[in-house]
Amino acid sequence: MGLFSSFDISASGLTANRAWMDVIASNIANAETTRTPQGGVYKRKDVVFETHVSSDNPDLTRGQGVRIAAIVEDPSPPKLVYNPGHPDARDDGYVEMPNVSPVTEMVNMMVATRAYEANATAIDSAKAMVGRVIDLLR
Amino acid sequence: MTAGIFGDPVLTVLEKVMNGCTLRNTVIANNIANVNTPGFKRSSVSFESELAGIITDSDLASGSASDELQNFQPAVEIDLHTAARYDGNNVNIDQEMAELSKNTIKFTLASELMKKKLGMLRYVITEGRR
Repeated sequence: MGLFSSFDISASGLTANRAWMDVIASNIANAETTRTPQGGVYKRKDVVFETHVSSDNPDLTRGQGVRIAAIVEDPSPPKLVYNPGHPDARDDGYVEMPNVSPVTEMVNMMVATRAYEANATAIDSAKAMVGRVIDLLR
Repeated sequence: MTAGIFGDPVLTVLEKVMNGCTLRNTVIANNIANVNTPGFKRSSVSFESELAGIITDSDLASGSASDELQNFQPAVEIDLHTAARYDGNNVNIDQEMAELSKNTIKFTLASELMKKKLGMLRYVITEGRR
């Protein structure tokens, strides 16, 4: 465990939570999107976190960072809204709307924000600890 | 044999560390400034392992820094191995901030050690009087 390994671990946490925020923002922005380049209605996306040992510090047997293993699509079916006048309506008059619930996304956004702040505080604490060691020289 | 009171290998090594950290600070600032530039690739400075390879036991024992040590310069390299976003930019702001913190600590450590070393010289020069 080097002097600076906790910095790298916390930085990986910051990166992962920032990527999660991107996914949440994409879900919120596309809550009403009925067309995607891949065809079909927008499907809600979710992230999978995984512990990750960086190549710089391969021997972190006591502490590991985190990374986003995958961004997966939510398999739950789309919401059906009856609107026969909509250009993307099906033959039976229903429009497939994204399976995004703004309440769920807001809660996830709060979790991601707090997790980001927690990682930033962890870096602050690690900095203070090493600064204390340097103060011994003074 | 000795290259004057400031040719001490410890002072030379500390000076090289401080030079390397200063260069790294500039490079990190450039990375952070270009965090939104499309196609920009981040750069990094790595001198610690090269410096460690140059320092030999005979350096420290002889009391004067070798020419190789005195002529050592840190180098900037462009990092093409980090994954890039869709706009071609591979700067990760969180990683840059963490690198900045680590670099500042390394620089502070080197400068404090140099202060102690020069303090010893001053003590000798003033013959113990303040």
